Amino acid sequence: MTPSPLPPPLPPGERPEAPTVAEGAGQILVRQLAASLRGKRFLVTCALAGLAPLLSLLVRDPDPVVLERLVVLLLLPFLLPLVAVSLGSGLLYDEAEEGTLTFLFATPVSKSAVVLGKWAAALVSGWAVGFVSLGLTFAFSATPLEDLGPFVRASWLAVLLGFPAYLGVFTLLGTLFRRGFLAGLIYAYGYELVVWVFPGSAKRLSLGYFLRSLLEPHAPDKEPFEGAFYLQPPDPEGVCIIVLLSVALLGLAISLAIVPRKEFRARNVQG
Amino acid sequence: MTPPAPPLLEVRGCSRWYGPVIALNSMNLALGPGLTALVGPNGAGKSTLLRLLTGEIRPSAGRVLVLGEDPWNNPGLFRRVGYCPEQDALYEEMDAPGFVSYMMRLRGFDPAAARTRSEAALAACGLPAEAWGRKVGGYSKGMRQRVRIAQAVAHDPEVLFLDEPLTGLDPVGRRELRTLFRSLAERGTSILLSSHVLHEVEATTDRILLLHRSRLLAEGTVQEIRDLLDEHPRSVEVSCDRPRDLARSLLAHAAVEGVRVAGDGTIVVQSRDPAALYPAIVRTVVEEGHAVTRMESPDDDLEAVFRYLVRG
Repeated sequence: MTPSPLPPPLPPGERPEAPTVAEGAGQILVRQLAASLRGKRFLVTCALAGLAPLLSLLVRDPDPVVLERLVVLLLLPFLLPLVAVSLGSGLLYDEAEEGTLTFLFATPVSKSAVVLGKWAAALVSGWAVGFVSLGLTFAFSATPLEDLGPFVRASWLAVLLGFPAYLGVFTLLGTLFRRGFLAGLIYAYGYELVVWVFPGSAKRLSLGYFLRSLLEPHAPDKEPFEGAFYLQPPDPEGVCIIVLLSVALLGLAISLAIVPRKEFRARNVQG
Repeated sequence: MTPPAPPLLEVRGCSRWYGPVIALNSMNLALGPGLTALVGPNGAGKSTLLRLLTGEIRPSAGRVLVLGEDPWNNPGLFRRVGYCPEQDALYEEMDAPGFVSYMMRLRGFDPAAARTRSEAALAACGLPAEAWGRKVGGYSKGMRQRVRIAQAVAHDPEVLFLDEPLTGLDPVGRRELRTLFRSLAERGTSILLSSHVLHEVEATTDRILLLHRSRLLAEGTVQEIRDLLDEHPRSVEVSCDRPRDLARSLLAHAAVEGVRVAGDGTIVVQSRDPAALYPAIVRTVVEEGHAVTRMESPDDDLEAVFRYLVRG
């Protein structure tokens, strides 16, 4: 086979400028979103997030407390962090292990833009999973939504703010540690649960506390919150919103600051 | 007077450790334009050097400059630099033009230019157009290698780093890509190519950097490096009709250090003065009327040079 000619040389001065952070992150976001929506991990995440709607469908009890339990005890403290840890903890190391991160870092797109694009993709897909899961949980329930009153709005708000907050934490852990997934699981199902049983203001050291604080004042039945606010009443909604948003942004900001200083290479690379 | 142009690649007292393992040891290097091969066995430090040059990792000590700039955390440099890593990794769910276009978009090209240049690069790298519509996950190793090289050359880089670029290719593919690399070098691209297959390197370029056990053993052309190895006598094999007579006559020359009859009508002549040896052999052959069927120096190939250096 006769090889074809090379792409023509770029005339002097016609080499394109490097993409801006927004342009680079946008490119990364689009590809990452397309890839993750077809990825096995996303499908497993969707299946797990489907647990709440499935139980809602199976139980079909009109008592509002059943639906409250699904949201307060299953969806927010268990499924939401699971979705976040699954999508957020391996933003860079997953690709470093696969070897494809090298391609991204050998382009004029900054490392921060790469993280930003991947984080945004994780946020969009995680929100989609969270909202669909919550929506279906409500839809399949036998409880009339009007019986829950403002608890429904508070639940949407909890997913809206809770997912980015968890994502911020897991992005940071995934930036700091090669085994970010494991670190994330330890955080979500170890640290957060331990803090849950601590009395007093120590509870404020967990995201779960602020998510429950968003819901508790609007819950028709307080039974699912038993022990959650022992010696520490729920914080006002405004405080919760500020804290959750701050954690999300701080986690992302610290990750963006760390990434340019860190090497990301596959485990076996020493040649 | 115009000052001399700075080297395109510069490595100054550079070392790199991975924990207790030394991957690169006190390397000094300055490279200008053209096609240079980085040669050495697996684990010699070739990939580490390329990772340092592409800013993938930082030196533990010393400094690295590419086009006069530190590549670490310097994404802007990659407008002018191309890199084909060794690892067999691609975005499996993408097709080849989609993948290369994506890389081009990340380099700032608009969608139309990205597509046009990607397709031209894939064609130049010999990926058949029939395969373009398929996902790269279903490609053979050789096809994947062509895609990786295409993404590295599509933006017309001034400096191109290729880590074991001929791995996984059949002999025809290797020849095609060697031609491509030479064409790129002729058109002004500076290429640093790593390989552990010496004969492959010899067929690509004669400018080499020899790495062994994390150190730079030698740099220059194969001939230059060979000429530096004075302590190793140069061997020349001569096959002729009367080998013993020729051997006896050659022993009389001052340039000849020893002659061994190897059988099959071949003698092996050894000398530390190759400049004088070749005329001496030719003169003797002509004066005594020997019928010579073959004359070559097995020491002049890269394999032999490398063997000497490593042994030394």
